[in-house]
Amino acid sequence: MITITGLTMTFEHRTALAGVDLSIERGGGVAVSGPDREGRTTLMQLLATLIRPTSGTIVIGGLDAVTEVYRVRRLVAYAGPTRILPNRLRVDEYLRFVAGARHQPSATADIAADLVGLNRSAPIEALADEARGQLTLAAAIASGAAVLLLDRPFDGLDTVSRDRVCEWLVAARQNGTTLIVSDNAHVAGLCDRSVTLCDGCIVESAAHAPSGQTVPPRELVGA
Amino acid sequence: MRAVVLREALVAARRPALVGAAIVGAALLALFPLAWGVRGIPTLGGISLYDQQFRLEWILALVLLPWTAARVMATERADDFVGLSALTAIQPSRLLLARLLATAIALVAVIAGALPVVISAQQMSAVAASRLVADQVALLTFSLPAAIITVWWMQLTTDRLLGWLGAAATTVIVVTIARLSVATMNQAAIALATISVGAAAILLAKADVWWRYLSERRA
Repeated sequence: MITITGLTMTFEHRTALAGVDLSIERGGGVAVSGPDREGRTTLMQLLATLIRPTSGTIVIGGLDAVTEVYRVRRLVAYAGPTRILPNRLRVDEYLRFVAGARHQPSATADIAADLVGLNRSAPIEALADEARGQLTLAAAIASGAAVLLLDRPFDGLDTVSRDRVCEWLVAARQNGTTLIVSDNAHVAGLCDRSVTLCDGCIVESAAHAPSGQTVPPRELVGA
Repeated sequence: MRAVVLREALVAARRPALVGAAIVGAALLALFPLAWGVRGIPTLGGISLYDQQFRLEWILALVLLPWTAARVMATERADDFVGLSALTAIQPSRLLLARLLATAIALVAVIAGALPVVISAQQMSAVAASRLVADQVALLTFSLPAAIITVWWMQLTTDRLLGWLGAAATTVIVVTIARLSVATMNQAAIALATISVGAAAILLAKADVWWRYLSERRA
């Protein structure tokens, strides 16, 4: 589903990624960990086609993420540090807009809001920063995308919501959704593989036993 | 695309500026015959109340339409468009087209809000209904260039006041040039609408390139 080859990202004064190679099959799950400012968010933003790599290739669903940006965006959904402008919309209106734009039924939006524990009728401008983070997670869930890129998705979620989201993610993976989670919490239980980024390189890669339905959600993700 | 147009329309409808502009426009036009009577301003002898009010309607449109457009449109620009495109998997050009459509519709609503007052003036001045229709269609057509000019300006600045002032100044300049180039205001409106479609096409064509990736500052 995703093939990353020699991925390098250099900003003006620093190298965020230096020749990353990674391959993830459809329905696979990869947990990305590592120190802050060592390339995790940059990797997620590159996969989300939000930034253009300095060199290297990213192929998602058979499409080159540099030359076919807009077609790749149909396949991926990113939840991370993104600015959400309220525009006087409510949570449900925002999520239904995302679901509608992605050709998903509006019920998906309601499910996503309930999963992350957001009040559907709350105005976005009244949401605190943490709740806006939840909203980006809900938007990614509502998108129905084949690849979910979740950058620290559990920040701000209470235990109950976290368990619900984990359950949903496990089920989504079983239905073929590919999952990449960037978090230093123990999200490995959600994924079948974990990689550690340091100095822009993958310094550690480990495979995990596939997560079964019998594992209680609260054991998939540790706080 | 439908979801984006609906969202842009919802954002515009939620702004108090939309209703405010419609009320202010209609109220100022209604005050005109109340202040000057059925013959209008005497020093403009020979021109009917309807014609005088139509001139006032144009002056109001030049100021009020860019202000309304700047106030009611959704606030994403530049990097926000990149984020919105990634979120919705819709190209920035289509997002912008939806914004242009929603903004133009909002401006049409502002102009249409003054129709009862304008019809009253037409009745008082015994002007032919066909003339009223032609004038109002021209004015409604003008909502398109006003929307396009303001959308352009709002992409250049984050400050709504600056966006409005820039859009209003640009609108006045292009309307003046258009009016000097053709015989009537109605022809000028049609010419402007045609030219503005070209300007919109340029903006839409560039949008997918300009807002493909986040700027390095935001990345």
